[in-house]
Amino acid sequence: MKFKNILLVEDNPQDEMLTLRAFNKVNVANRIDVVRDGQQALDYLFRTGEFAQRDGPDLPTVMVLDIGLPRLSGLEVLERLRADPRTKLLPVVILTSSDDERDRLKSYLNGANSFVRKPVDFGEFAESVARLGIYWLATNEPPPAA
Amino acid sequence: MNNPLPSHPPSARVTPAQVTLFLSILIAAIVLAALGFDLLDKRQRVLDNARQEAQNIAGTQARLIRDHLGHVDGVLAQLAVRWHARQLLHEDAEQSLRDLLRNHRNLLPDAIELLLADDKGRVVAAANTLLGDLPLETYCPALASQRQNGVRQGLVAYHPELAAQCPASPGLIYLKPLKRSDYTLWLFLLPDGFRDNLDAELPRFSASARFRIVGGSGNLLLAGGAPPGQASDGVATVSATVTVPGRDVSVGVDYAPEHILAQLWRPQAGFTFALALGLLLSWSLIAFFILRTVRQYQDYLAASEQHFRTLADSGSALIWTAGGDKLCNYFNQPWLRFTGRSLAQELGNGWAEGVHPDDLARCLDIYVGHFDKRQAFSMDYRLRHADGGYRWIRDDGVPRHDRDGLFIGYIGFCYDITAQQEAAQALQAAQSASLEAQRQGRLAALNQMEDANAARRLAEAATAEQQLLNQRITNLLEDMRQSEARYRHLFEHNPAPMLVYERGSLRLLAVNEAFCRHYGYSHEEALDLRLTDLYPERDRQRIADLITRLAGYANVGEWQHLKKDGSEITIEARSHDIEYQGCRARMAVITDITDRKAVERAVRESEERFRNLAENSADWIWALDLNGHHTYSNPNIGALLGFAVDEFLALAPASLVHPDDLAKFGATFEHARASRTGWRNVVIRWRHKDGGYRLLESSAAPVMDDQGELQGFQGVDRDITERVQLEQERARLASILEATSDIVSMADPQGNIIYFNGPGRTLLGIESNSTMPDVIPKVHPQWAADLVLGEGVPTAIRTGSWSGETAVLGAGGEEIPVSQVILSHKDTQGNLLFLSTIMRDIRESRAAAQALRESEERLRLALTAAQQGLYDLDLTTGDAKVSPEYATMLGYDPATFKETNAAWRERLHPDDQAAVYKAYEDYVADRIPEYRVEFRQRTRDGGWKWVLSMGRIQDWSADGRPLRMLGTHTDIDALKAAEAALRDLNVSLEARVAQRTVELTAANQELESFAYAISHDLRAPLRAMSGFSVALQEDYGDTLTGDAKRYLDQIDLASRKMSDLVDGLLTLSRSTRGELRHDPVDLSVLARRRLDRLAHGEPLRHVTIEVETDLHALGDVRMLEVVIDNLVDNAWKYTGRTAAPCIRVHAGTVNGLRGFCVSDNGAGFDMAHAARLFQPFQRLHRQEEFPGTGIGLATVQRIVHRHGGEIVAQGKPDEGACFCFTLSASGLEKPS
Repeated sequence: MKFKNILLVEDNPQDEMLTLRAFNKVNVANRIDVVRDGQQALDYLFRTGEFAQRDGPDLPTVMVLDIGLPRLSGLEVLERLRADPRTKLLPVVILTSSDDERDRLKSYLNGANSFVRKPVDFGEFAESVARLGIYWLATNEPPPAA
Repeated sequence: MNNPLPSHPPSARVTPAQVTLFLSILIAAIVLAALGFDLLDKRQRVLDNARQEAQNIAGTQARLIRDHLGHVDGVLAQLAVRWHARQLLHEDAEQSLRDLLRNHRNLLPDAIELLLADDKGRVVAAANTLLGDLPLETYCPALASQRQNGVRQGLVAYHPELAAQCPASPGLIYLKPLKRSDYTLWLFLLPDGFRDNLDAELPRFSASARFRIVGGSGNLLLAGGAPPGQASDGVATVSATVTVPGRDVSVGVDYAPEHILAQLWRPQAGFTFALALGLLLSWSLIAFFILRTVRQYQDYLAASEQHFRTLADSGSALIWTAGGDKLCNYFNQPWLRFTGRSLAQELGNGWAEGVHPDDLARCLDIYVGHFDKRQAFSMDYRLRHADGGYRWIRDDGVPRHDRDGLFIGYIGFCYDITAQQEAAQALQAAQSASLEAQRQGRLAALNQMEDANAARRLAEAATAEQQLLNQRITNLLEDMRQSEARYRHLFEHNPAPMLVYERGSLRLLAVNEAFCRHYGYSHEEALDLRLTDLYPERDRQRIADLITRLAGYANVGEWQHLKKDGSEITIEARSHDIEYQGCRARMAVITDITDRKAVERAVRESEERFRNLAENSADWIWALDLNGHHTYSNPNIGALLGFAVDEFLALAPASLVHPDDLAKFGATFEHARASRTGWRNVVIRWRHKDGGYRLLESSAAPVMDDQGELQGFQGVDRDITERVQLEQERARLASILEATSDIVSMADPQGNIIYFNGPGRTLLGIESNSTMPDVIPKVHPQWAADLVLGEGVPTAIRTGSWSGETAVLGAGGEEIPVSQVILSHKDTQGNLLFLSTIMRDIRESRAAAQALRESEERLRLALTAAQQGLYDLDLTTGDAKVSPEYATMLGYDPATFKETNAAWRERLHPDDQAAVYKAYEDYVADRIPEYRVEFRQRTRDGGWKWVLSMGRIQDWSADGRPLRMLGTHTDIDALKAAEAALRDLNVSLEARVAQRTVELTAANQELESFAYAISHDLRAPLRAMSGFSVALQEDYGDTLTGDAKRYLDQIDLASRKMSDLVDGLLTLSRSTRGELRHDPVDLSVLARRRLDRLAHGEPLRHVTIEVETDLHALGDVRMLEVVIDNLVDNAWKYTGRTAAPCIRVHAGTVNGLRGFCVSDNGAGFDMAHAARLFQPFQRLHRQEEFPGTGIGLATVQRIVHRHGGEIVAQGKPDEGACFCFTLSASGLEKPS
């Protein structure tokens, strides 16, 4: 089985725990890396800053990105990724509490592959996360490596 | 023909006969050849000329036909169009054409006939003739067959005289038949008229040429002219053909110039042929003689011609000759000198140009008429002289014949008979002079004039006769010089006494019959006399001396002669030298002028008497002929109209009579002429030489001649200009006096009133009570009468005039104030003639003055009340007059304040100057309609005062400069202060509004951020609460007991409720935010979808659902979705405990407008609490009954209101609720 990993960008520790719990329940990923703000996310992806020496593959199989992030917002991160040839094709799923239409529109405009709203009800939330994990790691064929 | 003639016998070896024969043959051959060439050459020239002439004739005819046919086309086109138009109106075709033909008769030339024929060939209508119901064949027998053959267009020829030449086409010419329904319109050229037309164009056509008109198909259409065979005559015929452009017709002419050939050729040709024949037959010496004869004949002809010309040119008679063709071929020098024209101009018919137009037709009639009959004629006509005037000519023409008796033309002799004609006219004129007997004194003059006229008529007649006779005699003498034989004849038969005497002895050699008769001698006795015997003793030596000096022609003038009986007569004698019986002699013609002299004397005396009378008359005496021309005027015309008599007589009366009087003048004259009466006292304006007009009063009487024929009028005119002018002047003055509004009156020196004008009579009421005041005191009240009589009248008499204010008594006895002027009028000696007075009613002017004062007072009060000052600025000096308010406004004392333009400028605030000056300039230049400016003026205490100044230019100079300006100053300080305050207020208000707007914007942004934060930050904890409580149950559920599990459930429940609240608040906040869109929305679809989802979520519930279809609305689809979701969710929720739940979505009414309703039969509500329904967080049910946030309906109402609509709720506890809403003031909307 091919090595699959997820980069989760989530500043809320409670949501992070619940998300990881949901992913783990379906057991789709070999590894889940978590960063807690936008800048960290970029550093992780481009191996810069504190992640200059990180190990593991260059890019995650899928990146799960919150919008309301400290330092750089999720939308800004997405914009940078799409502007860089290395990360232009990286599958990005927006997972956010916002049901604001403008956020949804901007996400797709900036090249998000998917937009998932975090339900307040944990049952629904866990189900949503589990489904997207299965879909993006098991069902979806990633873009060919550059 | 310069052949050498043999003058010597031939030489030895050949016989003289042989030589002669040879030479004669040689010579004959040469002669023949020369003659032949000559003949051929001349013949060719004549033929060429003839051909050219034929060509001309044909061309003329072609043009004639083309024009003619062009006109016919035009007529046809007009008729066709009109007929067609009538047919369009469904009028009876036949009747309409009948009318058409009748009404348009004038369109048709005489040579055209229009016929309307029906299908059977019956003529039903005709334009030129009313032949009635005749068959077409009556007009044209050949037409029937043509018609039956379907001929629609073509030409058929006919001419009655030429029927034999075109037997195939007798009948009429017709053109372009027009077919309309059952009728055919035939247009015919009537050949007779046509023929006349052609013949009129060329009178000599018929004699010398034949013509033919041929159609395109070769048909002979028309022919005319000389009968065939006559014109050709075996000599020559030339032909010419001309095609008419654009027409299928050509004109041909055969031309036989016989007259030319006959005249120029026949004698010589015949002679030469005979000669040639003789030569050929005889081969003899006869040729010499013939040749010589030919030359002699030619020489003789030439000499004869020369002789004739010389004779003709040397006389005074004007001589012409014409050939057999009537064309003139010779005019002698006297003729040419007379007319001043060249021979070339006169030849042919050129001479006719010189004939007076009035005489030409008559001349030609006589000329042609006699010519054709070969008769001599004599006619008088006026011929234009080289000096441009016309002279009367007597023209005697006689036929000429050659030696063989063949007619070769005419010769004419003309004499100037102008003197004779003028005498005849003078006679007429003299007869027409007589005088109107307007007054007794003038009657005598008239009688005198009658006598004078009668005498003069006799004298003129005698003179004319005498002159005629003299002329004849002169002519005869002239002729006689040329022919002795003619002398003799004329001598013997001359009506005037004639004699011939020997120059030396003065013995009479011959006398004529008239002499014997007149003088009383027998022929024999006369021949015994000497010329001097005829003279009285006293004259004999004188006449003898005179005769020795006579040479050639002479007129010796007037002498006394003695008859045999010793009586003396007065004669005139003309004589000239002749040879008589071998002696040098003179022939004399004697004219007895005794009677004439006597009459002339009488006339002179009579006329002298008349003229003395007429010319010493004070009036203008004149005579008019029947043409309205003055034939006499006495010198008074100079005094009346400024013209000399001769000058006046040369002018036509029409050029002197005033244009407005011309008709009257003409009518008067015509009436008098027609009725053979005169006229009396007719006033006519005549133009004076100075250009002005004089009024002349004219009277006239007719003048008759011996036979009682009216000859003209005589009359007398007098100048009445001054009389009329005086009358007009008087009338004008009187009318002025009557028209004035002043009282005008006159009184005699005694104070008796003699005149009162109309306005005066009216004012004093004289007309109403008819008691005219007879003396001055009665006109005035007592005090005024005293003033007038005591001061006014004496002063006027002394100094000429007096003026003052008095009064008169009005109609009702009231006192009327007047201003009065009294004038005295005196004659040249200073005697008082009369007094006059002019009085003017001054009541109105007094009242007006009073009104003006009051008006000014009111204005002053008004200005004071309005805080306004007045100014009156003289723009030329800059000085201004101002009202007191003007000064006080600026803090000055009105008593001492002096305003000038400069001072005003000085006080003007510097910031206002530019605007004020510009406004003034714009106003003066008429760029703005009024001068109205606001400015600050410095007050006396140094402060500033706002002033509104309005003004108007009152006077302008002639070159457009303003002179005077009137206007007001208004104190507007308070107004300005109020304006400033208002402006400040507005400024602060705007600032506050701007501040508020900024605050509101900030608040809005804050609210938005808040809502956003809620959605993110409030949800995460809730999710955590919910998530971890679930995780706890999942992971440690086994170890939890009792209440622990229940508590976890409560945490989960609370987090869910919190989540609903957050969602509701977000929705509520979004409903008032963002742009409102207007989409077409189907509410039925929205409701159905929501209900389906609810039903899907609770499959166990059975709810009756009725959703009306096509509930279309216009609005923001996301917000309307919220509305429908909330209402439907509520209905679903509140029917949760109902036995047979039913939810309906349908159309309804809200406040009379159509709206949308969601109703149910659920828990309902108490209307007492209805007001709280739409308030946020207000609930009418307990949470455990029906859970909810209390935000939904508040959101729904906000959305409805934002759309401009209304929402109402109806309900009853346990019976259900109904929510109805509209989305705009107009209610239910349908998408377009």
